[in-house]
This record gives sequence, structure tokens and C-alpha cells, in this order.
Amino acid sequence: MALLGPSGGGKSTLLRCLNGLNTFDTGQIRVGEHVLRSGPRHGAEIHGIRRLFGMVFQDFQLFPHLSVLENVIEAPLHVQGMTRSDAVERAEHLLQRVGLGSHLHAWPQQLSGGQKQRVAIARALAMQPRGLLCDEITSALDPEIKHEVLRVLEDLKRDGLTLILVTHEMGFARRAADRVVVLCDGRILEDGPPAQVLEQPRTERMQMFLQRVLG
Amino acid sequence: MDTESQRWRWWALGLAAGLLLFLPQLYAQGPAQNQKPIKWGGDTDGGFPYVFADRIDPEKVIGFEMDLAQALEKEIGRPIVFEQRTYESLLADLGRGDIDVAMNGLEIIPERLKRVAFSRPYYIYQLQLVVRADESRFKNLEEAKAKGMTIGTLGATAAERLLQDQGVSLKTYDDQQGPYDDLRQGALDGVLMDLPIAIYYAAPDKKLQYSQLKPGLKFLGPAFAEGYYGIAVRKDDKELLEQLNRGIDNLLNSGKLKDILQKWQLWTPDQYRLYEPIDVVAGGDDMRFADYLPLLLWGAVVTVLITLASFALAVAIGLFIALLRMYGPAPLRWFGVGYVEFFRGIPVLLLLYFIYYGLPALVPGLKLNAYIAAVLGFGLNYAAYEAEIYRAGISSIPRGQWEAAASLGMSSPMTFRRIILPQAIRVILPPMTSDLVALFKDTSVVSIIAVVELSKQYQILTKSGGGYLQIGLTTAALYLVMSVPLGYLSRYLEHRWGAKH
Ligand SMILES: Nc1ncnc2c1ncn2[C@@H]1O[C@H](COP(=O)(O)OP(=O)(O)OP(=O)(O)O)[C@@H](O)[C@H]1O
Ligand SMILES: [Mg+2]
Repeated sequence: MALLGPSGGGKSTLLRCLNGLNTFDTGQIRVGEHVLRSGPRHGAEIHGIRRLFGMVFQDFQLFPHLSVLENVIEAPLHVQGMTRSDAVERAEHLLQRVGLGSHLHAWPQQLSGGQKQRVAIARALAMQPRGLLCDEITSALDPEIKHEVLRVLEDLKRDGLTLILVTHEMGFARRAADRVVVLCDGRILEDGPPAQVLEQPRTERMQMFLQRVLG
Repeated sequence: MDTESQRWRWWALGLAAGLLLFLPQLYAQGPAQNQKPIKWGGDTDGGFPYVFADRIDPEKVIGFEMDLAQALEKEIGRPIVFEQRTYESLLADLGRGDIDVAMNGLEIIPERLKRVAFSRPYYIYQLQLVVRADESRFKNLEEAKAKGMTIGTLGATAAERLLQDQGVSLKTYDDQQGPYDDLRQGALDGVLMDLPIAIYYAAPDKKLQYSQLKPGLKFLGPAFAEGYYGIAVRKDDKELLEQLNRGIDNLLNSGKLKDILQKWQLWTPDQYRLYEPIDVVAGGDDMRFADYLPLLLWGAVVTVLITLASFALAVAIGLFIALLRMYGPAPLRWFGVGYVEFFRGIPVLLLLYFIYYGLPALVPGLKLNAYIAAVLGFGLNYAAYEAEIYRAGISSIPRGQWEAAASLGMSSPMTFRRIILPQAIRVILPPMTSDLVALFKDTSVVSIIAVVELSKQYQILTKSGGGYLQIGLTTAALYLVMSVPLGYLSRYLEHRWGAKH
């Protein structure tokens, strides 16, 4: 699912609410059997939701004091209580899958942006979530490097992972998304398959938005 | 016109009367007499019954030596003005010329005679052992030594020397009150000081106007080991010495000195021997390197131990305070802010005094070892600074790190411990190391609560024997050997990690 919309439309806010990083005033969020309500945080529910969805950030937020491998095994070891050898095995598998099998012992500072973002994806996947929340994870990357990350995402989707991504890559959204939701001023403007939303938008605002983005 | 001439007449009359009144005195003192005042150095700090501040009028300095000074003033014909000095520095101040005479229960001992000249004695003192009223473990100094008792005394006095010579385990103090307080609280087993002091602090049967009686103490055995109090002057100040000797002579012969001593209940039959000549001569060996180096090295060890223990405490409490201040609920947050402001705002000297002397008075039964008090004082004080360093370090880690860890399911305490703190350490370590260097040097302040570390050891060594230069250089070298590498470490860490952030 791709989240589109003009700047300030509420895409990041929605994603952060979905991961329990933001509180909200009204409504509720249901993910699987877990329900988040407005008002004070409910620790157990947030924890459940975070187990279902991992999150990847625009600015990577790798842990700079840990090596690539340590970044990935940190949560499985200390949150899930896995044994070290199991965690390492899983991490090596995941890092290989995102194409970083040869950088296990590198430090985050030594990696390019695209490599960092792929480590961040591997780190989120190590908790074996059902899906990933990605907020503009290619925006900070050079155009040539974006593709290595986008390729990984497409690959994950093929394997049945649920991806909710905020993106400004219209081409990618059209090609890869099953569903496109457009947020504007904190409300859903359009919601449907990419062919419908991007090609035959129902609202005038959506048409203007597309014109501006596609030029 | 009439009134004018009248006024003139009165004026002339007044002048004549004044001349008549003052002329005999001017004549008696001789026209060559120097009217320059004599600057007399002494220490009123807990100085019963020598010189001390009057309880009713603290501006006024009284004591038997003040009475003696006033009597001498009349005999010599020169004003004697009192100047407040610390007891330990009296002879050094005298040598420098800040004062002309030092009179403050200074015993005439061989080491001092090498540095200064002494007037003929004005008092024959003895030493008195004082113990707790219920003491039954020992009956004299020999038994106290055999049983490993610790005896307190004033630094740089004949009593200290006697204890050292006899090999009794001792603890030295800068003031008279401290040893008696520590004795009552059980930190000491006995106190050996000059009889006049003991009378004023621990003799319940004497009815004294200015008694500072500490209850629960008693004299153990008779006073012993007599010696002389004299007035110290510079060796080259022969004229002044001559004047003082003549003055004391006159006071002895006229019975005025006896009156003064009797007034202060200090007269004993022994004092009749003041009329006889005395036989103390300059002597004693200069401290040799091999003698004082072990003492200084031990002082250095104490300095390092106090520094490390205080810093460990400061680093632990500091983290706790920083966490309260950053993440605690409102009342605890205010407490954290209050803690930092309070301990950064008061001088550590005051804190040490309060912990060592004030706390045991507030909490009955509390016995605080001076070393523990020192570690506590510096630990609490430096914790305030370390808390701020922690806070700066922790706040420098971007919020995104917290969120990334949270999205992985890590709890806040776990995130703090495993993600935030290890990164913050890099920001925290350089300023903390330089604080450690500062603390290392600051510890010299603990000497005020009877902890003998490096600086204090230097003070003790030079107090009696001089040797300021050699011992001073050795002490400085010891400090440098320890602090310079620490300083380099601090700058290295700064360069290595500080620059990246
Ligand atoms: N549903 C909502 N209700 C109230 N406020 C909202 C809502 N959605 C968004 N906002 C507010 O709008 C502001 C911008 O939202 P947000 O950062 O999520 O936009 P964005 O779509 O991610 O923009 P950008 O493309 O620039 O990243 C935030 O301050 C947020 O609090
Ligand atoms: Mg955004």
C-alpha cells in the first residue's frame, strides 16, 4: 500500500500513529487483534502492534556504536531473547538477502546511504514482522542508489510481506502498489487501486496534485 | 573681642595641660623610643584560653595572652596590636615579616629555635591526657600505645612530637575543639594537649568564666612532660627580643604575670621556675629526603584513593540525578534541579564541615570517619556537575534513536542502557575526565577535616621543620606525575570523540 499526498498532508503522522510513536486525539487504530485508542498509551497493545509491523525511517537511524551485524541482532537477542547463534544465523540470512552479506562487520559510518537503508530494513525484518512501515525511505538517497532499496522492497512484497510506504516515487507506486491512499490535510482524499487513483482521480484536488507532481 | 581672647586663653590652657600630662611619659620612654606598634600574630580560632573572640562581643579578642600583651605594652612602651593568623602559619608569617612577634601557646622546642628566636618563657605548660569518662581500657600513654589506641592532638605542637617519638598512633588536628568532639563521638580514644587547653575543655571541677566544657570527658592521670611557652621573634630582631625579655622580667618581678595567670586559673606552683634560666637549645635534624618521601608517597596514595572513591560516587549519583531530572515525574524532576543548583551553589568546604562536624551533632550516635566524610562531601558535590554532563550527553543523542529502538520493541530502560548511554558516553567522557583532574586537585581541601593527604602532609612536614622548598618541590612533582597523564587522557578523549559531535 502506498501513501501519497502533499507535504503536510499527514502521511508521516499516520505512520507514526500506526507504530505507537505518536498519540492521537480521536478514533482508534486496529492492527490484527490489537487496538490502539486515543488518550494515554497502552503499553501491551503498542508492543503487540510493533511486533506485527517494523518501521524504517527516512534517516536510517542505525545504531552507530554497533556494527552492521550487531544492529540486526540487537532486538532479537534482547527483546525476543533468542540465543546468539540463532540470532546471528537469522541476521546473516537477512543481510545476504538485502545484498550486504559481505558487510557484516562494517560500521554504519562506513556504508553508503543505500547500504544503510538496507541494513535498516534487515534490522526491522529480524523481528519477523508481518509488515513494514516505511516513511520516505528513499528520499535521502541519490537517484542511482534508490533502485537498490526499491528492488529490495519489491522482493519483500513478492514474499508476501505487507508494506505500507510513504513515497514520492509515483512510478514505483503505480508499478508495485496494490492500493494507493492519498492523504491531504489529515484526511483521506483518494483510496483505491493505483490504476484508478492515479489515472482517473475522482476529486479535483487529486487532479491538481497529480499535475503538480508529474509536471 | 572679649570672647575671642577668652577662647584663645582656653586653648593655651588646654595645650599646657596636655603637655603636662604627656611629658613625663614621653620622658620616661626616652626620646629615642620607637613608637611603631608591634604586630602580634595569633589565632583566635578555638583558642581558649590563649586568645579568642569574646562570646558576648565577638569583635573583642580576649585571653590570658591578650592580658599579657597589654601588660607588656605598658612595660615596653610600644603598642602591641593583635593580628589574626592561622596557627600553622605563625612562624612562616613571622619570617616573612607580616608580623613582628608570634605568641599563641608556642612551645620553645629545638626545631623552632633553628628558625626563630624565643623570649624568655611566660608559662610552663604540661601535657594532659583526656579520655571519655567511662574509659577503662588504659591508664596511661604506654598502655594506650600497647593497645593500639588512637590519640588526637594539635598539629605542630610538642604534644604531637611526643606522640610521634613514642610511636603512639595519632591523629592531628588544626583546631582544639575537633579532637575533643571526635573523642566524645568515639572517633578517638584519647586527646593529648597542653594543660591550659585541657582545663578549659575537659576539667569539670574548675569554675571558669570562659569554659568550653565538653561533658563526658575526664583527665587520665596527672599532667606530664613540661615545657615552655615563649614569644617568637625574628632572629635578627635583637632589639625587640631584648625589650620583650626585659618586659617579661619586670612582669615576673612585679607579680603581674602571676596575677594574670591566676585570673585565668592557670597558675601552678611549677610556674615559680619561670624565674630560673631555661636550657632549650636549637637542634633537631633537618628532614632528609628518605625520611619525608615515604610520608609524601602515603599522602599521594590517600589523595588518589579519596579522588577515585569520590568520583565513583559522583558518577553514580550524577547519573541518578540526571535521570530524575530528565525523565522523572514532576516532583522528582524538581528535586533533581534543586540538587544540581544546591550543590553547585555551595562551597565544598562548607559541605565538608557540615558533614563532618554538623551531621554527627544532628544525628545522635552517628560516627563519621573523616575519610568517609571527605568521600561523601566530594561525591555529593561533584555529582551535581556530573549530572549536568550526563544530561548534555544524553540530550545530544537524537530522538530518532529512541524511536528506532522503540519500533523494534525495546523498552525505554533497555533503550537507555543499550542504545542511548553507550553513544552518550562518547560525549560524556572527555568533560568527565577533566572533572576528574579538577577533583584530584580539589581534594587538598579535605585537610580541614583531619584527613592527611598529600597537601596536608606537606603542611605537616614543613610546619615544624621548615624545608619549604625541597619538600614543596617533591610534593609538586608527585601531583604532576599523577595529574599530567590524566590531563593528556582528557585532551586525547576530547580530540578523539569530542570533535565528532
Ligand atoms: N489527522 C490529523 N489530525 C491532526 N493533525 C494532523 C493530522 N495529520 C497531520 N496532522 C498534522 O499535520 C502536520 C504535518 O503532518 P506530517 O508531517 O505527517 O505530513 P507529511 O504528509 O508527512 O508531510 P511531508 O511530505 O512533508 O513529510 C503535523 O504537524 C501533524 O500534526
Ligand atoms: Mg513526512
